[in-house]
Amino acid sequence: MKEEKKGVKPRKHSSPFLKELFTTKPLAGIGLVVLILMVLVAVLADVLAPYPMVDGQLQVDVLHKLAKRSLEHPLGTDNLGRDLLSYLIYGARTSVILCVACTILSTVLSTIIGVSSAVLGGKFDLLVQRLVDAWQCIPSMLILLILMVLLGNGVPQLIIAIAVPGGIAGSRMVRSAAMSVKDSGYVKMSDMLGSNAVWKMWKHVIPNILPIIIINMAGSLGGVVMMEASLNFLGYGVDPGTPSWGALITSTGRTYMFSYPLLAICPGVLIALMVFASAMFGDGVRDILDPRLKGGVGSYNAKKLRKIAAKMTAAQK
Amino acid sequence: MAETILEIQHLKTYFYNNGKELRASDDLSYEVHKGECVAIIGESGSGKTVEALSILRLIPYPPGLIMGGRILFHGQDLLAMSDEELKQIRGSKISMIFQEASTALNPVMTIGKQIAESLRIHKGMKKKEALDKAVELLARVDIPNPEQRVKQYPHEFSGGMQQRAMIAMAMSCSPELLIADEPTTALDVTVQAQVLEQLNLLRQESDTALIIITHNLGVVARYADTVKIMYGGKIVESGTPYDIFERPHHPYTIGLVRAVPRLDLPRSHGLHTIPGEPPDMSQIPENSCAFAGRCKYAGERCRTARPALEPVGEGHFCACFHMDQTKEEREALV
Repeated sequence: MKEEKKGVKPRKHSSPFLKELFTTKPLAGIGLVVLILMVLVAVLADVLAPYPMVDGQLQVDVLHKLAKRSLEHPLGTDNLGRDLLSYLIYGARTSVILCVACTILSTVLSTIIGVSSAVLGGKFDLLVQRLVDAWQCIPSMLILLILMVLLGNGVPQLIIAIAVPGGIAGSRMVRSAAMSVKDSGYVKMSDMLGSNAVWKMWKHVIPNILPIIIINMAGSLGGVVMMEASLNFLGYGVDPGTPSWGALITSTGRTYMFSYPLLAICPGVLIALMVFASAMFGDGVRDILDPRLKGGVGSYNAKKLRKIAAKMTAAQK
Repeated sequence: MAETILEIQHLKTYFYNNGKELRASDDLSYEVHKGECVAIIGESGSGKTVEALSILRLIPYPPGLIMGGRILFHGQDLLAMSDEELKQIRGSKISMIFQEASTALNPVMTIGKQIAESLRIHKGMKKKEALDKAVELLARVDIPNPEQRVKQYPHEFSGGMQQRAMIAMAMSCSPELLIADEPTTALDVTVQAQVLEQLNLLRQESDTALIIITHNLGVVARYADTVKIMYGGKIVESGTPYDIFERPHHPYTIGLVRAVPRLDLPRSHGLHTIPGEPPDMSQIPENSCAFAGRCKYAGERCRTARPALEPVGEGHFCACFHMDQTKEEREALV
């Protein structure tokens, strides 16, 4: 054992992840930047918006309703005279809150259901899985509508209505991942050492399926925005006074689509951008965290590798 | 003889698969004394691991089921205990080392945290305290730079170091009984020797009883106090290493001993093999000798009745109807 006399240092885990994201998956990197920008806009809405909210409401200026683009209103105003740019900036807030809250809540829920079902097994697993199956039989939009009718409109209600069904649906994926881990040697070892179920789940199962949980999470980000937009389209969603991209498209945007197209185009583009950014980001995260998908043919990685190889052989000559 | 700490009585662990009954551990009985090293030998699929897992009730259910018998640990029946009581014993009083350390260590948890696990569970130690103890334990199993090594992940350890880390995990609460299930199978010969030496040293230091499950007859000859030969889920012969190597009575044991390559014989001697192949355990009739299908001495009686373990010497038992016939082969052995 001579080789380990000196200089054994614990490996430093200094975020190679971000570096890898930007170098091997540039689209995913861009997606991340877009998402971060949106979060920043949402957080700094009061500073950025040309017409900040007063008493939690956007300023209504009926005299200048449906104004064209001008210096005062860079994107014009809507049918109540609210500045469109400010509306969109505050709308980002709703969307970001929704996205973050829904994603976290649904991920936590699906992890709890999936992992406990897999680890406890037996009758508990059977019962929980049949309930999940039954839940899956009902079309998700129908469940959403029923929940929204029961809970009423509003952001917190929307979060619950989107996150709970999402979490239940996502639990199957988490469960199958946990199933593959729970029979592994280290879980058995932990069992042998006398640990209880909670310890096993928290210390051994969850850390080992974390990549899958994260992938699940990143993938569902975009879905939430779409869900919110479609719920608003059907008339269930946020309160009328709350600025939201989905609500803007469906109410004002749709009515004035032909006469004032910006009212529909702007929120539409933003939703598309957010969905696209989060989908790209989610894909990139999955590719990096899942070792099986690494460096496949046709990936940016492989092309780059070939280029480097070509360069090196050229240099040798 | 020292105090008996573990007493297995008529242990029956069966597996049920596709409507077939597989008696992986069929009416097993033996004792383990304080500080003793018991070696269990048998070919793959002879029920060695199942028997060991049964002691801690780690048999996967379904399809495995402990159908009967008692496992007395200091007089308490482990099979009759509640799960909570058993958890108190697992890891702290009886501990186990698994076959492949590389799969038995959690890849995303540092070695130190994994060693600290049972300390935190059983001794209620704080994180910091348990990690300090982990450093100490790693040093005890001869891992250099333990302070740095505790912060590393299993993939940064070599196979032998992983195995030793697992020994440290199993020994962390100073158990009274350590079950080592083929602790050296995945290792090369030099590392095997180091790991075994380590185990033996730890056993002598803390007077821990050791059940070692292995295919390796060399290991047995060197470390074991008692040897049990298993075949088809049953113990067919048991005795001291001297009994087994010099005075084997069971045809299977004789075959095993003869199959060990020997340097002191002429090359023309060749390698002895046991004809046939391990039986499908679900096909062995209940009332027959499991070895009957491969045994050259087998007669009608071997297929209709089951031989019981009978004393053939001081502490030496054998289950065979034809022990007198094996005498010639036995004597040719030495």
